[in-house]
Amino acid sequence: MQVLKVNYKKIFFVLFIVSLVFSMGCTKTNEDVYTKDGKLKIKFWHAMGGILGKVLDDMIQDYNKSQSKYEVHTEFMGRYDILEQKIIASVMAENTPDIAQMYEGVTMFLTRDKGEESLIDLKPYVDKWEGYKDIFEVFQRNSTYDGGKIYSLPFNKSFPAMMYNKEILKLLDIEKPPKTWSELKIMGTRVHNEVVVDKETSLPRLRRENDKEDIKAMMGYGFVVDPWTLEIMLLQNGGEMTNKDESQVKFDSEESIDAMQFLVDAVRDGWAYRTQGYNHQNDFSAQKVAFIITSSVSRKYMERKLNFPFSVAPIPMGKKRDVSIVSGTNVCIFSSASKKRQDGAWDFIKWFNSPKITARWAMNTFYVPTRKSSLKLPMMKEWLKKTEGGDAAMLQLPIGELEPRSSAWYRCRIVLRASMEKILSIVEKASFKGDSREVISENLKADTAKMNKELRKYINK
Amino acid sequence: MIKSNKKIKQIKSFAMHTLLIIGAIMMAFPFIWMMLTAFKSSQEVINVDQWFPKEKIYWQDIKQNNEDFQVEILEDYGEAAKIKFFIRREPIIVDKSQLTKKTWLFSNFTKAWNKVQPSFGRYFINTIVIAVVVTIGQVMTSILAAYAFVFFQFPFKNWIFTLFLATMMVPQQVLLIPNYLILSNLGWIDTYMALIIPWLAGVFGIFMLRQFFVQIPMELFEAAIIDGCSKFGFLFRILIPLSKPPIITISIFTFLGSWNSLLWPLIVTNSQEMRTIQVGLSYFSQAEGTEWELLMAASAFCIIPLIVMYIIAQKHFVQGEAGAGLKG
Repeated sequence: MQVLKVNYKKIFFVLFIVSLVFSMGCTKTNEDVYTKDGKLKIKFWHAMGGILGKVLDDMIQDYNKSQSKYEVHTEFMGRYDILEQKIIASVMAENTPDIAQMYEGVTMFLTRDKGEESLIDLKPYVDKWEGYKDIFEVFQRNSTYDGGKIYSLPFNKSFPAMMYNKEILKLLDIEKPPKTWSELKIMGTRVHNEVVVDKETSLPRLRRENDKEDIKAMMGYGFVVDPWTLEIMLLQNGGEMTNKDESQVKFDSEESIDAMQFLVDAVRDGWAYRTQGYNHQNDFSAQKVAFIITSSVSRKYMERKLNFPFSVAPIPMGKKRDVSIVSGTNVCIFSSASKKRQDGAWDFIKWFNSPKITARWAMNTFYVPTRKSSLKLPMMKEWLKKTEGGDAAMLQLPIGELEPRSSAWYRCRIVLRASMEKILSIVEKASFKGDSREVISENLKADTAKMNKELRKYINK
Repeated sequence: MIKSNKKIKQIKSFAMHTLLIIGAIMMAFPFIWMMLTAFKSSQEVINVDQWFPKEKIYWQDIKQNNEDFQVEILEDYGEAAKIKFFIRREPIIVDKSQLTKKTWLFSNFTKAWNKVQPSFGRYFINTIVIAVVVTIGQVMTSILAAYAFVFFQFPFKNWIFTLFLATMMVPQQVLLIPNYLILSNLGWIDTYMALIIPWLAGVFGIFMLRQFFVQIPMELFEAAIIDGCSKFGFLFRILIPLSKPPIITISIFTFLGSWNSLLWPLIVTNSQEMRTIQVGLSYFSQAEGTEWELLMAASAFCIIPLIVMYIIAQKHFVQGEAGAGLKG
C-alpha cells in the first residue's frame, strides 16, 4: 500500500484559494429592485399550485396592472411544509421575501419563539385603514397576537363543508341535507339500508325485494381521519381543545370521547366508512357515497368530475354549540424588507382584502371572503344564486373558531390523527367485541398526555 | 427416476415463473395505471372499475379559450344538436360539426405541458443539466475518494471514512437550514451552483466503490506501480475498466436521485426559470385536491428519459446491483 505524504502547505494553500473564491461569491442583496417601467418589485412566496395557483396569478397580474407603483412577483414553493422550512431558513439567512403565506404556527415561531420579531407589526397600517373593521371577527382574532400586535391578515381561509348527492336524497324523498350529526346518522343509515349501487349501470337506485344479498349497498358517509372534524365536534359538544393559555390540551374530556364515539359508532353500524387521502372525494364523484365532509375548496377540484346533481352544505352541528373551525393561511410582511417594500406589500395585502377582490377570490376558489361587505356585493349575490351551495363555507363565518396557534400544535395534530386512526383500526374489526368507549377513552387519555408533553417542550423552550 | 426428476424440475420452474410473472405484474401495475390514466378524462379517472378510456363526445367552446367540454347529445336535429354538459351547465344547441368523438385524450399531455410556467421544456433542460453534471461530478469524486481510501495510507484514514459514513445517517431535513445558510452567504440561492455543487460528492457512491475496490488485490496495484504505471494510470487504465458495474450503478442512482429531487430545488431556487420537473409535477397535486389525469400525463413524459437511460444501461445496472448485493 502506498503511503501518501501529506503536504500541509499545499493543503492550506488550496483551502485558502477555495475560501477566497467562496468569499468573493458572498453577496447579500436586500436592496430595492425596480422594473423597467419604474415599479418597485415586491417578492411574494406562496404554495398555491394548480387551479388555485392560476386564479391567484391572474389576480396578481390584475393588481400589477391596476397601479403604477408596485409590481408583485410571486414565487411558487410547491407545498406548505416546504414553504414553511424555506421561510425559516430565509429568515436565518436574512434573505427573506417581502410577503409570504404562512400558518399561525410559523407566525408564532417568527415573532415569539425565535426571540426577535422577523415580521412587522401591521397595527400602524391597520389603524389607518377603515377596511379592517369590515374584516370578519374570526379573522381579526386570528391575526391579533400578544400585546394587540397584528402580524398577519387572512389570505386563503376555508371551512369544512358537506358535499351531498342530491340524486340519492331524491330517491329517499329527502329534501334538505342534514343540519346536525344526528340527522346525518338518520339519513346516512337510510341511504345504506335503502339505496344500492346498480350492478349494470353503477348508478344509485332503491333496493328491490328481488335484489340478491351480494348487491352493493350505498354508503351513507365517507370520511378521512382528520383532527379538524374531531376538534369541531368536540367544540360543538360544549368542550374545549385546550386550557386558556394553550398549555394543555383537553382531548381526554367526555365531550371529546363523545365526538370520537360518534365516528366509531358510525363505522361499526356500517353506514359510514373511513378512507385515506382523496378517496372519499373519488368515491363521492363515482356515486359510491351520499355524504362526505371535505374542505370547501375541494369542490373546485371535484366539480368538473361530477355529472350528477350535487350540492354543498355547512358541516353538521352538534349538541350544545353551533360552531366550526376556520383553516388556511395568512399573509405576513417581513421586517427585513425596506420600508418602501413594506409599504408596497401592505398596499397589495390591502388590495387583496378589498371587498370586490376578496369576493372574486372566494367565487373562483371556494375559499371564504374576508370582508363582511363582500357578501352584499351584487356580483356575489348573483354568483350565489347561480352556484348552489356556494355559501356553505360563508355561512360558517359567524360561528368560526380557531385552532391553537402555538408552533407545537402541528406536532399535536399529528399525535391526534394517529390516535384517531388507532382507535378506528381497533374497533372497526369485525372480531372486536369489547367496549368501544373504553378503547376511545384509554387512547385519547394516553395521547392527550403525549400532546401535553409536546406543548410543555414548547413552553419550556 | 430421471423422468420424475425432470417433472419436479418442470414444476419448480413453472412455480418460479408464475411467481416472477405475478411479481412483474405487481411492479408494472403503477406504471400501467399511470399510462392509462394519462389518457382518461377526469371523470374516468375516479371510476376504478374502468380500465381503459371509453369513447366520449366533446364540444369546444370558442368563447372560453377553446376549452373542451364533455357532452351528451340530448336531441339530434340533423346538422345541429341539443347537448347536455357533463358538468353543471345549461343544455345548449350547437352545430354538430363542432362535436368531436374522442377515446384516448392525447390533449392531456399538451394541457399538462402548457399548464406550468414558464414551461415543462425549461424544467426539462434544467433537470437534464443538473442531473448530468451532478452524476458526472459525483461519480468522479466517488472514484477518487474510494481509490484513496483503499490504495493509499494517510493519517486518520479510518477516522475520516467513519466520519463520511456517519453523514449518511443524518436526514436531509436536518441539514436543510444550515445548507441554505451557507448557500445564501455565498450568494448562490436561485443559481445552478446551488442545485449542482452541494451534490458533487456523495458518501453512498464512495462507500459502494470502496467496498468494490477492497476486493481488487493490492498486488495488482503494486505490480502496476513497479512496472512504471503512475497512480492515475492505474486508476484510469486498470481500476475503472474493472469497476464498470458499480460505477454504472452509482451513476444510475445519482441520476435518479437528482431527477426525482423536489425538496432541494424548491428550497434553493426562487424563480420559475430555475425549477425542475418535480416542481412542475407538484403543481398538479395540492392539499385540497389533485388533477390526476394531468399529473399522470406529466409524470408519463417526465419518466421517458429515465426509461431510455435504464434500457441503455440495463445490462450493467443488473450486474452492478447483483455485485453490490453479493459482495458488498
